[in-house]
Formats: sequence, C-alpha cells, structure tokens
Amino acid sequence: MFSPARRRLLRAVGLAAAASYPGFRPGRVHADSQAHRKYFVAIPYFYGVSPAHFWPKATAPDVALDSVGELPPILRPLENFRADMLVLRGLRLAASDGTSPHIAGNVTMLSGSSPDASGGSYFNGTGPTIDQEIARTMQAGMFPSVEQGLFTYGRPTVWRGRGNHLPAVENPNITFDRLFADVAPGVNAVERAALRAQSQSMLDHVSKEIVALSGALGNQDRIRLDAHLTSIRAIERRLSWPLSQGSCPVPVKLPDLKDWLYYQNPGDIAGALKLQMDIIVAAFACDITRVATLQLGSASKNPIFPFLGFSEGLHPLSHVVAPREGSLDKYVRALTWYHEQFAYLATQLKGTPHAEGGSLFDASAIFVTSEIGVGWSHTINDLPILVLGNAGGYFRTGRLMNFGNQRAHNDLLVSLANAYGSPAMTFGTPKHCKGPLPIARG
Amino acid sequence: MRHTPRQFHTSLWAVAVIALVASCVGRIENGEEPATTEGPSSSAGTCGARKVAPSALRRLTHVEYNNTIADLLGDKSAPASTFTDSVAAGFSNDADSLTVSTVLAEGYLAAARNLAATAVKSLDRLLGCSIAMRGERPCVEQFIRSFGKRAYRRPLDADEVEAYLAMFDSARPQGMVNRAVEILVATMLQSPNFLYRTERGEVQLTPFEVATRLSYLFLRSMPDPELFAAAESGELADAAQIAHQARRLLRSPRARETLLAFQSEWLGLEELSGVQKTTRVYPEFSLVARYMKAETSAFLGTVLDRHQGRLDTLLTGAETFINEPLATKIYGLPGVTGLAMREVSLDPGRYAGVLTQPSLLSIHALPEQSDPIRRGKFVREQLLCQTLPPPPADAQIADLPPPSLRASTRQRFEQHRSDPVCSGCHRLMDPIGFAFESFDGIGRHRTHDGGGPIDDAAEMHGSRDMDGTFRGVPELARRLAGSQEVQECVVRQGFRFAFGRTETPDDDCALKTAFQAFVSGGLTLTELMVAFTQTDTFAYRR
Repeated sequence: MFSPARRRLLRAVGLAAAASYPGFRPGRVHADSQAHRKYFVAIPYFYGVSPAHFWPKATAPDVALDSVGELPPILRPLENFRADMLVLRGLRLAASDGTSPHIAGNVTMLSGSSPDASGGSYFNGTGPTIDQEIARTMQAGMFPSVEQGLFTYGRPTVWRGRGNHLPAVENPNITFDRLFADVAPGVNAVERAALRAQSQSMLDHVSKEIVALSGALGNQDRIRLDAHLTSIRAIERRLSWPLSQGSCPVPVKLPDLKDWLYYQNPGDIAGALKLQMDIIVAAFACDITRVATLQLGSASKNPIFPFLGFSEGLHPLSHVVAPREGSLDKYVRALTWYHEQFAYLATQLKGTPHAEGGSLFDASAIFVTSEIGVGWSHTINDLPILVLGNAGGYFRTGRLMNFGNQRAHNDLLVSLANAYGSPAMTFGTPKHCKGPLPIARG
Repeated sequence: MRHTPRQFHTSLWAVAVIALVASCVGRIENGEEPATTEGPSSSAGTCGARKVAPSALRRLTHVEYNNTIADLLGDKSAPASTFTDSVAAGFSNDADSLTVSTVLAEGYLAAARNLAATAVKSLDRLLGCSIAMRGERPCVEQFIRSFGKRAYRRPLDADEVEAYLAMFDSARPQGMVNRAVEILVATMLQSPNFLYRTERGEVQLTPFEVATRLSYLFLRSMPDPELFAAAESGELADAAQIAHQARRLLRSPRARETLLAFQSEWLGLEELSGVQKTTRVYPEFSLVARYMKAETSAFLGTVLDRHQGRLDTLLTGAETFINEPLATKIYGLPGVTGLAMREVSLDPGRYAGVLTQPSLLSIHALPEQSDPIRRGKFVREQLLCQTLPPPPADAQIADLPPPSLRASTRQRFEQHRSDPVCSGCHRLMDPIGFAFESFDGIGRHRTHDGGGPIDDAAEMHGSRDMDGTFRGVPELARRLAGSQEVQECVVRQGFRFAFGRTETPDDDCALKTAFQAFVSGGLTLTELMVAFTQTDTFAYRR
C-alpha cells in the first residue's frame, strides 16, 4: 500500500497506474527527480543524548513507532510525527576511526569520511558530505545548497571534498539577503539585471585566471583552486537564474542583527534559529534551494540556552553521569528544546504546499544526528539518528529500528544518497560500508 | 613532484609522534616508557644537498586581506571583518584550511565592488595620471600596469595587460570612464593572483616572490615600497639581503601585531572568547574575562618590546598588567584603581609568565573547577609538540565528582587516574597538571582546596630532558624554559605559522638551521622568525 503522499507523488509523475513500481531505485530516480522536486535538510548537533530520555522502548529490532507507548521526553515534541519518521538506533560513527569523536564530528557526521588528523587540535575533512552529494545529484535550485547554524564558532560540518569546507552562516539576516535579494518584493529588476551582467563579466575573467593558474600548480594547490572555482560557478549559476517576478512569500527579518555576537552577549538565539528554519521553508517553497543544513554547535564548543532559564553550556551539562544539581534535567531540557525546533521545521514544511501537489514535507527528509551516542561517554555507538519525512515516498517511515551497532552510519548516508537519486553503494570511507539500510519502501 | 599525504608519514618527526601515541596506549601491557619526539638536532637529516618541501599556495587570511587593501587602496574599511568563513585545522594562516567557499566568494565579490566604487571617486589619484593630459587609453594602460603590479605583487604579463585592456574597452562604451575603471579594479581584487600568494619561480623564488614572502611573514600585508624597490633592483638575492629586510620589517608595529598573533594562536589564547564558567561558582568571571584578555596581550607585548619575545621571559616573567577589576577579583592586590591596565610585579615564587596568566588558566579549566588534565595536556601538546591520542572510543568519560568540601581536586583526579584503561596516557598529563593546583578555575591563586592545603607536587614523564618530580608552576616553567625539547617545539610551531603548513621530512634541514639560529640568537621569537627567512625552505620552492 502507498501512503497518500506516495500516491500523490506517483500521480504527479504519471505513474499512478504502476502499482508495482519498485520505488526509487538507482537509475530510475535520476530522471524522475527532474520531474518532481525533493528537498533535504541535515541537522548535525553536538554532545549526544541521555539514552533513557531519548530511545523509545522496543521489544524487537524493527517495530512500529505507534506501538512503543509514550515517547521519552526528548522525542516527545515529535509525537505528531510518529508515522512520518524513522528512529534509527544502533548505528556507529565508525568514520571517526579512533580519533577524538567530538573533534571528528565536525568532519564525519555528514560525510562518513575519516578525518585528516595531521593538522593538530582540529581535523580536516577528506570527502563530501551527504547534503553536498544530494545537491550535486539533484543539480537544482538557484542555490545548490544553503548552510546555516548556531554556535558553530567557525568550525564547519559541511564539506564539498577534501579540505573544502562550507561555513554555516549564523546571522539569518545575511542568509535572507543572499537568498531573497532577487525575489523579495520591491526589487528593481532592471538594476538587478545590470548588476548581474557586470558581476558575470568579472567572474568570467576570474574563472579564466583560476583555470590558467591551476594548470601550473601541483595537486594540493589545485584542490584549493578547484574549490574556489566551484564557488565561482555557484555564483554564476545564480546570476544566470531567471529573475523572478517578485511573487515569492518571504519571512520577516529580525531587527538589525549586524552586531549580533551571542558568544559574549547572547542575543535572540531562539528567534534566530526560528528565522533560519523559516528561511529554509521559504527557500524550498520558492525553489531557491532544495538542500539545507542547520549546524547546532561545534566540537568542544558550547551552545547555551539562557532563554530556558539556565546559563550552563551544553558541553558541561552533557558530561554528567549522575544527576547533580539538576544538570541532567537541564541537559534533557536543552535536547528537548532542540527537538521542539526540529518539530517546528517539520510542521512548517507540512503546512506549506508543494508546487506539484501535497506539502513540502511529503517531498522532504530531515536527517538529524549527533556525533556521539551518549553525552557523558565518547561512545560512537547508538548515534541518536532521526529521519523525519519519507523523501517523496522513498522511506518506510513510522518505524523504530535497531541495528545493534553492527552497521556504520555510512550505510544510512548511502540510503539518503539513494533516496535523492544517487546510485551510490558506499558513502564516505568504503571499509565502513555494507550497503544501504533496509529502510526504503519495498 | 608533490607529496601525497602518505609520504608525510615517513617524516622522522611524524613517525616519532605516532610512536608516542602507540606506546601511551600500549604501555599498559608492556610497561615501556613512551618514545619521545626526535628533534631537529638529533634527527638523521643533515643539511647537505638542498631539499625543499612543496610550498603551499596560500590564500590571504582575513587579516592579510584587510591590511593589503589598506596598503593598496588606502582604504581602511577592513571589509574582511564581515566575511563569513570557516576554519579547519592548524594556525589561522594554514594554507590547507584557507579555501574559498561560495559564501566567501560572494564576500569577495561584494567587497571588491564596494572598494572599487569608493576608489574611483578620486579617479586621477587612483590612475596616477591625468586622462586630460595623457589621453584615456594610455593612461588606463599605465594604470593597469602599475596598479596591477601592486595588486598581483609582481609585474603583469603582457597577455594579462591585454586582457584587462580588452575588459576596459568592452565596458567603456556602456558608460563613464570611471565605471569602466571600477570594473577593472573590482576584477583585480577577485583575481586569484591577488587573493592567493601565487608563486611561479622555478626552484628559486623570483625577487618579487621573496619580497611577498617577507612582507606577509612580518607585516601580514603586501610588500611596502622599499621591498618593491629591493625586488626591482635585485637586492633580495642573497640571505644577507633578505635578513637585512627582515630586521627592518621587524621594527614595524605590524610585525609586533604579527608576533602577538603567533603567540596567541600557538598558546590557544583566542579560545578565551568562548569560555563559559558556572556563575554560581565564579560570578566574577563574566566581568573580568575581557580584562584577562587585555592583560595577556599587554604581557605578551611587553615580552616582545623589552625582550624580543624571549622564551624564558615568556614562560617565567613575573611582571603583568592589571586593572582594578583584575586586582580585586583575581589577584587580591590592593592599591590598583581604575580600568586602565598598569604594570605590577608578582611574586615569582607563585607566578610564572604566561603559564599563570588567568586567561590561560581559565581556558584550561572546567566551568566550575580547575582541571589538571587539560593543563597537563596543554603543556604536552603546545609546549612539547606531542600529540596524545583521544580516550578509548567507548570509555565512560565522566567529568569528575563535583567540587567537594572534603576532597581536593587533586584527590578526585587521582581516583580517576587509577583506572588502568586511563592511566597509560593520563600519567603523561595529570602529574604535570597538578603543578597548577595552586590556581583555581579562573586563575586565582589559592592555598587550600577541598578542606586541605594545596599539594602542587608534580612529575614529568616521557620527556627527553625534563623527567622528574618538582613542585608548582614556577619550577615547571624553569624546566620548560631550559628544555631543548621545548625549544625545538617552539621552532616547529613557528615554522607552521611562518610557512602556513605542517613540517615534512624535507623541512628537517630548515628546522635544524632555524633551531641553531634560535639558540644562538638568545631564544627570542624575533630571531626565530628572521632565522626562517635564512632557510632554503624560504627562498626556494617546488
């Protein structure tokens, strides 16, 4: 049986009669993905969970989420999404390969690629992250991908390849201006067109110089110039995108955040994260991008939650084994707040119509993970992984599955890549891969 | 030929680090002492035939970008301070980490447009010639050559001049001459030849490339007029001429800023801005944190100004700079009033240079207490250049039992260290960290902890020339300052900063040469930086 979303989707691509259509298999999907838009969000966060407050009780390795009774407190905000999500236990962050899992998390969480730890206290990435792979496969939207986050301290989680990192933009007003400059109401189309033409000629000259220079350089240097060229091409793509008629509904910017430095002087953290999510929803609805990441925290750095009524950062709170001075309560409260935000994003996507029928959520998957399984150990087992949404009918949601730490999270990355049309059979460090997880609809 | 990462592991030094890591874990079974790192003086590499490691193509850091824009255009708006960027590993000028993301390329585009629009407002001054007197196209061509040389930090090739002239010609009919020049300037400011320190010299660097390396090493900016002149007239051809320029540049205030940045990054002092303390335990921290930063800047600056950055002064000096909040909340010193920083002499029996700066001690501590592990790890990694492995992947890593009236931090940490799974590595860190127990989690001196007097007896294991027991930070500092292993580590840290990359086996000779010059120059950071300019690694490339 197909879900209503699945049926709508099949109708949209004219395949409703093909009841035996085997699903989005590699090879078939790529052509289909041109016909209907899919969306992907990755949310990497740091410092794990308290297992007792996160994992639902299960009697078997694959159970319906409807059957697990009351959800533990951290997951409770997602009560309305029981049928729409996968809760995946027993996946390992094998790619950290014995290095410090916190530090490796910036590199491995989304890439499954082992870190290059030769550079000292922080690590360099060695392969692309799943969001970038999906963006590359779909080749869609004015922006191939949009990176946002909070408390990242300039340490990335998104990599286009070895040493090639993309920063999360923390100030949502900056992202707003980047994404909606051409579509917001009141934009002077003639001025924009003139500006675009000028930028295009400059970038064309710069591209030629990069190519000429690259030919004279060795491999390591060429990798850096290739990264630069990819960035220039992403801008060029945008500059050649048809100018919209200013009909796209966009969220409202926050009051001037120019000097917004939450590290010393916490500003409206909750408001900023909400705006970041609203921007994602609007950018999906307007087809400005189809791939987004939200990075919450960074290795050894400290997200804070003053609006929840306590000043301690998530890192020290996560390290508490026995409840002391309410630390465990605060840790769970902070993680619950995170999950409330994930629920908000999913709810907004659900409430926004997809141009081709159904809601944006029907065509989306939100992949949530942390770099460790348990806050107070450095275990790479039992990553607290969620997949919200079935990516246009690809995933069999509504399940709580346990892989017994016999599988690396690389295999989930393979499944995600497949869901968006990549025929990949491995993702990240190949030795950790056994193939996609059994989470697709048969 | 370029090195693949695999070949890096054949480095003598890299092998030594791996040996340390393996033995720190393995010793639990076989009881061996950890191998120690091989320094340049004891390495097998000798300075015979010239060996040069692959140099890295270095993108300007944001500081370098701002300085360069200020020197090139006289525009001090520092546009890079609004760029969004991320960093990976190493020093902030590490070439591997300095890539151009889409967001950064957008930043370069927007900044270039704004800077160019401002620059063409006084067109004649920018062009350096009068269109009315000389004619438009000759004047613009002259501008492309002269401005181009300063932007690219070398004379433009003929085809580069042609390309810019063609760009001018195609932009000119659409509008005013200043709009066309604006496009030229905005394009040059996004050129890879501007944004990266491109080098094309075969084996030996060209004089312009030497000038550029010198200026970015000391000034973090483009060559000044004197360096350009020296490059033009062939006065950067030998080591003595290069040393002459290096010493001249060292007198610039910008060189002082550069050396401060090196110290600050090497010692991880930038981390202070992200440090949070438990308000209940340390209510004063949020007030004094900014002054801690100012104090350490003043201390490091003075070590440079008065002692050329001498290593022993850095580690053992008893002078510091405090204001009233620091005096009352941290040092407990009477008689210091106001917010201005003023110099005070501290008790050398208690305090020792940067090691007892409240900033450093606050960074290497927990939110509610001191942390001998982090403090020991800091000494091990930053001052001995040893890499420690992370805890076993599935170890239960609890922070310690909370501060208690009945047990000292030391006692609680010693319990934790008794676990044999942990003790292999922790004996390399914790016994050093205990020397710091006279200082609490925000760097205040203390005599009691957990209901008893402070025990700051400490021990160094696994070093080449410092093993043994000692007591307190001042004695630790004296040992560190006199240790060749530490001195060699400083050379390596300086190398990484100076060359924007991690050392390789091909750099052994450069490290050895620099180490000898560092020692004979009185172990000062200024002489160390000059010493790097005297190596083959500085003057040659491949």
